[in-house]
Amino acid sequence: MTGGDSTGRGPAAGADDAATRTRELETGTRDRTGVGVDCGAVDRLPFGRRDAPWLGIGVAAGALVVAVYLATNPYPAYGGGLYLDIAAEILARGYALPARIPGYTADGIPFAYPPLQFYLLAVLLDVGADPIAVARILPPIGMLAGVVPVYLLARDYAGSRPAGGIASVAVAVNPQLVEWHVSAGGMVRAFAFLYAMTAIYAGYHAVDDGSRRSVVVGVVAFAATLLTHPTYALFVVVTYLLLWTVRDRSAPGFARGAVVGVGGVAIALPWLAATVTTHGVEVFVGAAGTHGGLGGGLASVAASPLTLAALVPAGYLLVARRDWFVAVWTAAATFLFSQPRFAYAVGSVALAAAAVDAARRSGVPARLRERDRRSDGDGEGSRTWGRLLARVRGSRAVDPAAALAALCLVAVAAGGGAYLAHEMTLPTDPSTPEFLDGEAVDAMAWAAAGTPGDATFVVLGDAAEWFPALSGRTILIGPWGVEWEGAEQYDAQLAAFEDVSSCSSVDCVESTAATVGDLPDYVYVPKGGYTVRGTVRASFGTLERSFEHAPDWERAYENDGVVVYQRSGDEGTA
Amino acid sequence: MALPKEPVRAALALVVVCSALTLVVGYADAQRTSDRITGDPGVEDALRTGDRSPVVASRNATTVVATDSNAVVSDDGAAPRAQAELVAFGPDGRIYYHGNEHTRYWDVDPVDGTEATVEFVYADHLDPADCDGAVCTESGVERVNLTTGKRTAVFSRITPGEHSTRWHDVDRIDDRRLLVADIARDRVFVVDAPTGRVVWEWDAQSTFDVASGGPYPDDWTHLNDVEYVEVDGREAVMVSLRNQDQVVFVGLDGRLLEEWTLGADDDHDVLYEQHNPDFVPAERGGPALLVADSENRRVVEYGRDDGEWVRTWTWTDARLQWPRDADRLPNGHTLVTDSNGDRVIELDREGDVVWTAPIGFPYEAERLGTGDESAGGESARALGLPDRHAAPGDDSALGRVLSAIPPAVRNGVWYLLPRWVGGGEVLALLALLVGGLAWAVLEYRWAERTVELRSPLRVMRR
Repeated sequence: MTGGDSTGRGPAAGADDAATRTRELETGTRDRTGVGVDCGAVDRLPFGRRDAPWLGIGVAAGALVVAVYLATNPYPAYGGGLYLDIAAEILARGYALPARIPGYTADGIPFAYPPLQFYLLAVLLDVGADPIAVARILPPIGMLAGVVPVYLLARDYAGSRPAGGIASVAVAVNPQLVEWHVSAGGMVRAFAFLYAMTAIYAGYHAVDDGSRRSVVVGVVAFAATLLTHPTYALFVVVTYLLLWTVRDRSAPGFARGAVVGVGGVAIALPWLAATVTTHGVEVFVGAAGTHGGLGGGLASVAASPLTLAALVPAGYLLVARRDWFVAVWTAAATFLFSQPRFAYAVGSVALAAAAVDAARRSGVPARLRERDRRSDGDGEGSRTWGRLLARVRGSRAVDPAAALAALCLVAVAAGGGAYLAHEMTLPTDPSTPEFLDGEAVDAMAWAAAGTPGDATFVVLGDAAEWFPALSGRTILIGPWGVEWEGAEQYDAQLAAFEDVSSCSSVDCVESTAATVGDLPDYVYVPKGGYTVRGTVRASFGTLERSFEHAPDWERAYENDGVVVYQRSGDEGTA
Repeated sequence: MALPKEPVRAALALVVVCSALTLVVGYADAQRTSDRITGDPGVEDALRTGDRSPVVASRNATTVVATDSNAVVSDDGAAPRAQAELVAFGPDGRIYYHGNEHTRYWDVDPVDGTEATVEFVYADHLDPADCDGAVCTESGVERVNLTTGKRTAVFSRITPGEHSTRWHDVDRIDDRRLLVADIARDRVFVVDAPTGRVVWEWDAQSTFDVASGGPYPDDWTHLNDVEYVEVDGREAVMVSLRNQDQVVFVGLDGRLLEEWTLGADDDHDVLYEQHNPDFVPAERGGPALLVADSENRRVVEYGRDDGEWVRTWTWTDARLQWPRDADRLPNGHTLVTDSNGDRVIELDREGDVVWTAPIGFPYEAERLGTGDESAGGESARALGLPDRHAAPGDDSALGRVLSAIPPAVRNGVWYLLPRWVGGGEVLALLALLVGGLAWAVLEYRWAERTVELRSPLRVMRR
């Protein structure tokens, strides 16, 4: 920390008048070049006391969202069972890298995931943390931390602290980013986003300023991203390529980017080598096409054209400031990645830069300041805005434009939080559906205690994702982790899972199970509402009645939310 | 005279803002309350969440409801009225069965000799890849045991070139033969279901001019209901030609029994685009026809006097919107399916509503154990059912405007729009469009700049 005026700018900025610089950063009036101001490299902590209100708004918006999530989700949203099972397997092997993870399909799945977060999870489990609590609490921590590099990047790119605030609020309340980072999978994804945005922030300064420390931070952050989530690592690579090709194109810039890339890969090399040695390169090739792949954004945009909204501020910046980098970066995030959250993350930075630019061009900040100056001068304070500011400012000078921007941001944050609260409390919660509930946990505890260790299950609904982790028993049908076996097996398991989870009769369950393997020893049937791939489904007892009428099956366990049927004659083997 | 700029601008801004606010508030409220059907959303909420507590009042038997979908462009949608479903309410008022595997559900009939097995007519919109790249629809009959969920295919055919469902009713004649109302080809046919062989057919063009009814060939007769009946001591087929506003009887020799025809093309005093007429024979107080007189917003029954049909019973209430099914039950009650009123209701002999199942966009309902449609019920005349007319309607200005809209247009609009769009929202939408357009035009006129469109090419005479 370098004092109240620190903005993370390099020493070259030290000659600037401190007061002028502060006002420029707060209101976005400094940037007249069409590119970000030279806010400096990451030569010291990149923020100071004056960042606190703007970063605070972003973090507060995120905290509001997290509070709503925790209040409305007694269990983690979506699935986290496989991740926790992997961590448990790492722990069981004394922190050695496992080759396969048992429990998910009859043969288990190859372990080829980047391992960094699983080691973190293993440590947490090792010190006695409750797995469900970890899946509920850890992602929000990662999500909140991810707001910080977004703030810094937008602030430095636009040369404006309010821009940082805008971007951080936009990221904190964006339903897509919240959905995939606050939910249980955020144990990996939220941290991948944190590492990726940190790497991109460092990369921005490494390419633009030639900061060596930025290169070092970039290497570490890129390595962490690479060791956490391949898609986010790809996002970093694409961004670095664009930073160099659009903004720099110099040999030193290329060298600095290459150092980050090579350095990151070098750090990740032991894991890559171990995985390729164990599973071969084809394990990565097979998985590449299962989650949309590079270029999958086109299909996503076709399915959800709202994603194109991210292009609007980028288009504005292109027209108004000839800002090709943000335009190309947003287009790449929109059309290359099938997950809209990348487009929204980039779009948030673009939105911030565009909003600050538009505000400056509108002349509103200047008029507000002029009006404020006049009301100060004539001592009347006759304007409402002047009176309000006079009341709250006390002896401190408050820039009325900045105050208005902050007010708008607080309103947006509150509105975003209220909207997410609305979504999360809908009976068919589309953003944070829970795969688990108390009855599911009880049923899994029964399976752990009341069935043989080698018992096989077909679990209907998304609770299947948690089942092996919480019961220690094997599910025969489920797509989780099967992407590492290749697209064909993944697609077959995914189709079988969706089909069996919609079955209303024993015939349907048996015939669907037969498409991917043997009949299970047990079938786990949720009662009432449950989710399939995050979408709520409802059952009204038809499948249960079908099992009750079937001569080959008998009820083995039941509570208010789950009933488990056992195949007759399997007591000896199951 | 030039319009005063500022007052007009302010007035138009007010119109645009108020109408936009009306729409936003209406939408937000519908989202918040999930009340996207007319009436209590409890059943729809339960269908989405799996709530197994009673959602309708108890009855002495199961009620099965087939629901239509108002999703026009897509096959399905999230809103309750867009979800095509087969739903059974158990005697205890809980949802007993829920199926939504098909794109549309239409006629549903109990299967003789079973307690809880029904046959229903469905349609599946197929991928073009299944039809050599063309649009097509599979229409069919399926049997499902509501207790165990076991489904059995009975008979189906693919209709080429159509992506709207073209069989709305199939009547079982015996354990092999089905009588099918084929809207796509404006015909009725009897098929031997196990072999798929058509053994009898009546084509509406053999009797009716294509200038009658609806647009030919797109939706000429909209032949939506059939029934295998006995009139004057001989077997015949009763056919509902919706767009001709007629229920006709056809002998097995293919000739129209003209003296039995009820209604006439565009004679809307008798019938107006009816659905699901049920024939009540003489031994149960007939001959009579119980008809959902859809566009007239009423359920009617006609009896025979001196060889002529005369109306013997009329029922409606203020909420009834586009009824599409009415069944007389053995106890003298009438089960009415109110499609745009989002409900299935049971009327007692006094005409009072004694049971309601609020559900989005129902097409047809059956009470199990009471026979197929009105098979166990007596005529209104035999039962002495009193008429019931709607209470005085909404006499507000908005109500008067809405009631002035022709019923067919009103029901068409109601069919398409999401449920949260009521009369106020429709007017707000119109105000928004008209006000916004007028404002834009005026601003353009007031502006000092003009916009000219010029072709880059200019053609000149030599």
